[in-house]
Amino acid sequence: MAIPNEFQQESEHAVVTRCEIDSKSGFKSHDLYVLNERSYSNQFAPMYFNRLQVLRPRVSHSATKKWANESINGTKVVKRDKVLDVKPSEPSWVIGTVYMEMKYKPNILEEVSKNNVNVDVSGIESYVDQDLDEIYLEDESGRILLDGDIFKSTVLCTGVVVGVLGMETKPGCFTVVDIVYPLMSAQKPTRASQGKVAICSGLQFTGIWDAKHALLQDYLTGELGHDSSQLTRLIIAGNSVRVQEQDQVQQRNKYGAKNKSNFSQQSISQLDSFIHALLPSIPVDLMPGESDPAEISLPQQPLHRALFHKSQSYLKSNNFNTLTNPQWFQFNELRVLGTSGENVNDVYKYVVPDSLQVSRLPIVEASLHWQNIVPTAPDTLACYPFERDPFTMTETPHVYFIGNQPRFETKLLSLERGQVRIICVPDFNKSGQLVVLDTDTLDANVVTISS
Amino acid sequence: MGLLDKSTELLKESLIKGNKPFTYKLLSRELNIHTSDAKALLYSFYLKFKDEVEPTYLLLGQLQDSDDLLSIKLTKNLGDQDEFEKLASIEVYALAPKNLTIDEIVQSNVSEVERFPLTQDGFKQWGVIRGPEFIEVETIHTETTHPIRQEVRKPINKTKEETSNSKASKFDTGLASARILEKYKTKEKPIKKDQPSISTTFTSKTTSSSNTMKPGVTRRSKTEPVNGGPAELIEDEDLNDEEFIKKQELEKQEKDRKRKELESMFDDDDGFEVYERKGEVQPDKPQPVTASKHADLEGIFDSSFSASQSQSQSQSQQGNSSVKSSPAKTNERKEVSKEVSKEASDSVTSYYDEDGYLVTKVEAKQKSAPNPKPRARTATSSLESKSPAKKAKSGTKQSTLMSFFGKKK
Repeated sequence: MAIPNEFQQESEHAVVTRCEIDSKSGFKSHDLYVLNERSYSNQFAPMYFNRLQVLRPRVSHSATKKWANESINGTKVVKRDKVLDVKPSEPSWVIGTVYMEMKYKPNILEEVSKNNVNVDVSGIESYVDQDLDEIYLEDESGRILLDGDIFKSTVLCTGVVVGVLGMETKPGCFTVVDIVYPLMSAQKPTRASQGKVAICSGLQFTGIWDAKHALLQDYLTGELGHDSSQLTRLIIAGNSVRVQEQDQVQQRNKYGAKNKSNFSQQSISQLDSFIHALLPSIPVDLMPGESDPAEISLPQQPLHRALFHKSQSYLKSNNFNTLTNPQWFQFNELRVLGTSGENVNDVYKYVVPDSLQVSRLPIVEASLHWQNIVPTAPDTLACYPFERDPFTMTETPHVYFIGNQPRFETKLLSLERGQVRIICVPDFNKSGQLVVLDTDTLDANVVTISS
Repeated sequence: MGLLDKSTELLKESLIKGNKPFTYKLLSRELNIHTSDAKALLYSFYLKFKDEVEPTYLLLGQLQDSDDLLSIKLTKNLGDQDEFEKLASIEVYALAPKNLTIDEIVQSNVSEVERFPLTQDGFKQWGVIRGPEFIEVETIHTETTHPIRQEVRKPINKTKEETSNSKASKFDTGLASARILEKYKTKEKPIKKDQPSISTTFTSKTTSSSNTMKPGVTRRSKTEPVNGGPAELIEDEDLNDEEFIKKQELEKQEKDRKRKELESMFDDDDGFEVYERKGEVQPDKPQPVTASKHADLEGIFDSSFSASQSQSQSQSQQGNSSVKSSPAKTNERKEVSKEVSKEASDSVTSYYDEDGYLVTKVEAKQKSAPNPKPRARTATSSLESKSPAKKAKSGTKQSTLMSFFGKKK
């Protein structure tokens, strides 16, 4: 059994300097996700139209490629432009947006008609009821009910643009035999980069220090005795502070003095202290998350600088960035897309819980196939009323990470136009895990801290 | 004294006498040594006092059947190292009195460690990896945000003082001067005219002093309220460094002196200004003011009411008539009164003109001049008569009101 070393004499130590990486954050997100002027007079419908408009040609491309010479029961399939053009007993394919009619899914129209505008989806774990749920395909013309065994093995959710191949067997019901997704958007051809990047999420500071957070800080600054100087940056992907108490807002008196904020000042100043202790040693990129003091609607805007009393002097340089969620990063030539996990957690509510054994990888994989990272906004996820849809991918990243997932999972996904490293970053508070991404090899590993 | 003895003494003091846990990080900060030395020192101490303290071990390595890059484990049980396939290092993380949980140990030490802000030397001394950018503004932030002021002061005075750079002080002055300005703006409000110039001299004084003085001290002086309460804290705290204490005391004394000067300036100015103004302006202006007041009263109240008053007092009528006349007229009247008083008592009036006019005037007239009396009375009695009039009004209000209503009926 090994034992610690005794003190002999004070030894001479050299200064360890951290490796650096050329980092550009916000280069793309600035156009996509930063909201400069906000107008809430817009309707949400244009987002869906825009999404369909952008993705329809790409789905059409994939469908033509796949089904050009397809025939069902000896009849050649035809393309129908609109959902309502589908004719009975004619093998055809059509493109539209999926809409899931689910028993437990909150329906804003119903709620509004009942004069209850406060739709809270946070408490619902799953929208699914297998017997009653219906899948529709809709476009500008109307909607049609989809049916078929293929849906049992396919991850779908509201807002996804797909092409379906099949036949109208019963009136108003289209039996699907195959599905195509949009053509994958281009990926930056070069991804040359060196250095490692640390990603963590779900720090969930409460205002009271515990051993895990202190060890994480010491590990990153190198004081634990393990050389972590090869970690060039730390990305904190959301949920950095914990909401102390559940909703205190009274319905009647929404803006009264009795309604305290759920955020505790201590937790935020603890986050500030934590970041402040790291900054002289390692640059930090901070994304907001579901439980952070940022707006709920996506894209979440950067946490306000006033929250970082101690660390804000670093905000002037690139060494401390408060970023949007989602966010595009660039490390040297490598392009990384990250979210704090609400998107995947929400899609997870659309799938039958048992079918995927809690793994979130198939959902993340699917969202790359869908070419949309937040398809369920604005239906079940709050979202700014955009005129265009910023969540539709126009570029495929080299690395796509999702914060606040139940466990660490990673996969190198090979797509038709390149490879994407998917990383599910676990909740640090529960798992004590920090993900280390090698920007050269795209390997992702974890450092586990336990006490 | 060797490092080992120093640390043993410190740990004895804290762990065995004070019953407080001690992490490697705090030891490294307290003794300004490398964290790996601090861990070794903790273990050496543990070997000496095995019965009294309980160690928390830090295990680094790779767990069995795990793909993790690294596993970091804090444990009180050395046997946990069997879980590791490869053990990269084993060190003592903390020593603590028995039956304390690891989280409790960490919690108790975090705030202590925060008292030692990182400096340029810290990278080498404590073994912190040097990042691409280092801004040394910690002291200000910790001071302004930290709830316990005394705790924060200590390290600043002990370690940071000499090394803290110009950035800090620059930042500091900016913050503090704004604060001071605000503080004194609120003070200025009641004082009417010449105050801004005084406040600017005050701020310029403080800013110049902040440039010359040491940051910790200047900060104190700026954030401190005028009553000087916290200033006494310095003496109590800084018992370690004698030279520094001397310097600080000198500076403190100087500052106290300056503050007193300032305060006295403010006090003097308040008094002086008022007196001056009274001396200068009073003879010309206040009378028109009373006149205007009176005019207002006339406008507000019923003419019959004032007429009844005027009937009862012929002198006040004179006053009223003079009041109705323009300010120029009142000036003339005053000159006349002066002449009259000169005529009546030449020896007395000569020195009353020089001093505050309003205060001494009444006495002068009471003492000296029988002739100016009625006029002087008109001036003062018009002022004084207001309150009796009001009293009379309040006393007779009911009846007059009733009569008013009665008339209407």
